[in-house]
Amino acid sequence: MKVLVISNLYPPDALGGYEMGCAQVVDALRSRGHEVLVLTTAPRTPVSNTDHVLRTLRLTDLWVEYTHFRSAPVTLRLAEAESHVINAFNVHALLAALKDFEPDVVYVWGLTGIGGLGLMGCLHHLRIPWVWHLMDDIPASICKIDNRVIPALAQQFEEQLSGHFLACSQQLINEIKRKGISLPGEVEVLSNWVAGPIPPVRSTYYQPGTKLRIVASAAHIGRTYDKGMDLVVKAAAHLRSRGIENFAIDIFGKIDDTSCSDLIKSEGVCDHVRLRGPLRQSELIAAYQDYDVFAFPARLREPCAFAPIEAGPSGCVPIMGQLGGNSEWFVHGVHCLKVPRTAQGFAQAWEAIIAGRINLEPIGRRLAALVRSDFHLEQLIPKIERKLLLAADQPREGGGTSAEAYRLALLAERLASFLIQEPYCA
Amino acid sequence: MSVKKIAYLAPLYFDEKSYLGGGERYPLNLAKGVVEASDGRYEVELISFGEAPLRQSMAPGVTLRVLTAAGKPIHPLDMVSWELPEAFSSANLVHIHQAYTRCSEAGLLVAKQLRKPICVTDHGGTSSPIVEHLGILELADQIVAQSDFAASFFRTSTPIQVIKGGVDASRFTPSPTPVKRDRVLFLGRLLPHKGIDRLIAAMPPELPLTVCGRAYDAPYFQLLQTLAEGKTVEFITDADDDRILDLYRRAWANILPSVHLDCFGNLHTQPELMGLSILEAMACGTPAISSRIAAMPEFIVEGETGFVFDDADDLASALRMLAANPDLVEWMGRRARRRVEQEYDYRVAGGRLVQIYDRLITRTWEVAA
Repeated sequence: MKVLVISNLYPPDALGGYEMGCAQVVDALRSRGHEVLVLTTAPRTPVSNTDHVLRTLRLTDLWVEYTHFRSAPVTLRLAEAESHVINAFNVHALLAALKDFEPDVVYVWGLTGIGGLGLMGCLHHLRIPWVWHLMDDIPASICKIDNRVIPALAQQFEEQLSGHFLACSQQLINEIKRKGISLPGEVEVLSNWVAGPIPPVRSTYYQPGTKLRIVASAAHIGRTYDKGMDLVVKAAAHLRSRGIENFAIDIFGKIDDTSCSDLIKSEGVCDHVRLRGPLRQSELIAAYQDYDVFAFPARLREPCAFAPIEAGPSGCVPIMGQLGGNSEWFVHGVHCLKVPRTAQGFAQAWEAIIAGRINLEPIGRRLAALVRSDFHLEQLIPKIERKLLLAADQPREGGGTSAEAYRLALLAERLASFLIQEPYCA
Repeated sequence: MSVKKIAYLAPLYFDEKSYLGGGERYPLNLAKGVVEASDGRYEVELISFGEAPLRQSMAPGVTLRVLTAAGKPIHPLDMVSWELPEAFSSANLVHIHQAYTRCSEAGLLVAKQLRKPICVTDHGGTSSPIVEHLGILELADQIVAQSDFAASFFRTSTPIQVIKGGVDASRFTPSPTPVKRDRVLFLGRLLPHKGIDRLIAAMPPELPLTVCGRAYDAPYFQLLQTLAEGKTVEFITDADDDRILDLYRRAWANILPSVHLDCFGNLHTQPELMGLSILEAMACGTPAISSRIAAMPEFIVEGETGFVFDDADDLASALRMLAANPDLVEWMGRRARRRVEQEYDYRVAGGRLVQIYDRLITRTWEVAA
């Protein structure tokens, strides 16, 4: 099967799990004999060329916080439209890739930053079958103008962009619906995964009286991405305030600013909390063997993060908020511990473990077994493959021409530009 | 029999709340013509814009739907609405009136995305160059022009068909009882490109002139009033359709003296793409006189249904001749009326449009099947 993958970013140029997951699936599909071409953006810093990765899209990078503080409102709104709604240059690049590669199916990933709605409109116009793998609320994001979902765009999304969706949690589907879009077509929930070699199941688990080794990780540590690391630091301070010193917390991830280190200092937990910087994904998965629990205080709308799943094979027990997407996949007290998403909630769970009121061993063993059997990419890739095959069989009759699709993209881009600027001209 | 639905998109509509011009009356007439010529096989929804939504019946089978405009554009023809996709959704075909506006750009984009067959007719009101710059008319299935002159402006490989006329010949009729014709008439918006200043200047002092229309340009209206001093010129700026009908019937001739270069030095490449008022006058049995520019000469058979003038002397002599020869006026008027009935009535134009719509809709169904 010839699969054209579209992703806003692609490793080594990546923001987090979405892009890393995309690369893992691409590798898995290729290893199963499929011909895969990745269409992504020119990298933000130089990367080496890879034959199966075509970096011809243009990224409108709104993830740089500095941009928001140093741009005029109209410039930001134009950038937002280009990022979410329409970028004719990228439609042109997509058309070229479709013509040259002639895929059986297009496998869509993250579309923000590349004019995602226009790209989907282009596929729709040409009647190219697609599967969209959702790990974030992208359908809602690409129907946003001026930071709000436009009901008319959401309605047209529902009416026209019927296709095949894979979503990493029911919570994500519900969130997109709450924002105005009921995903139209075949929607399947498919959890995130752990990929590649996994460490052996540990033989020893935490024993009360010893130091509790806590790990937390995120791709980025800083103000821009709310990964809840402030809760981890404050939970450490809670424990100390209760006279408990027998714990250590390591936080892995790229340090974007000083907010976390400043908090560690101000909370007086420098002896207990260390910022360890980033590790490669495989190194991180191996490193989880050295920890007893994985603190996962992610934001409420976390669709389904990779990290807690990656901690599972080595029996490192996730302690997570009750409401995140990951909590759909694991049972409290069976495969994980679920706590209120507060510093106190995390502190109380850690205290219970240290005091011996919670035994981690049975939880860790069950978790390790579950992740091996149900959450390894090797187990999930046949489902993805079936979905792609199903979509590829879809009839293509009645599609428009590439010339039409490009004209429509140019027209949409100009219209958006003028409509955004007009109030500022008046 | 399933009724097919045509969506007519126009940035403005013929109403005091919107705009009163030929470019607005014309789509309404065509809509009626399509419904009547198709014996009810077609319905037309005229979609336009305003501050608040509105839906009202305009005629049997013809409704006006006003969408809530998104923002207030700098140019009145640049109306758009987020409600457009929903408004088009149930249409079998979209006919866009006014080709070079943001309204038409949005209409083309939405209609094409919804896979609707698209017709486009221009009425000369350009407010945006994007359609032309990007060759967007290629996205349309059919261009419908109201004159050869109008057709000559399109630069597209999309097929163009000329369908002339579109006047309501059952509304605009000769008087059922004899009336005394006693004036020269100009009827239309009081705008510089209409050349009314030239008409007033050329008017023989012994002949009365009635200038009837909305004064959309205050300085020009002031100029006309100044030029009219010492002549028998009556200005009527608030006439309704009944008054207009009466004025047509009482005139020796209706004059459309439009110009390319107006009295303020502004150039108008498309002063008249048809000239609806001369057709209305002809329908009333009144001869039509126009300047020899733009589309008007296509509609006047010289010496038979009216005159075409080259200069002020031509115009003055034609007016004197008609004013002095009531029989000639009646003879020309009868021939003008017959010509309208045969060629320019909106039912005739509607019938021709129905043939286009039938073909495009059938083709779309075949592709979909």
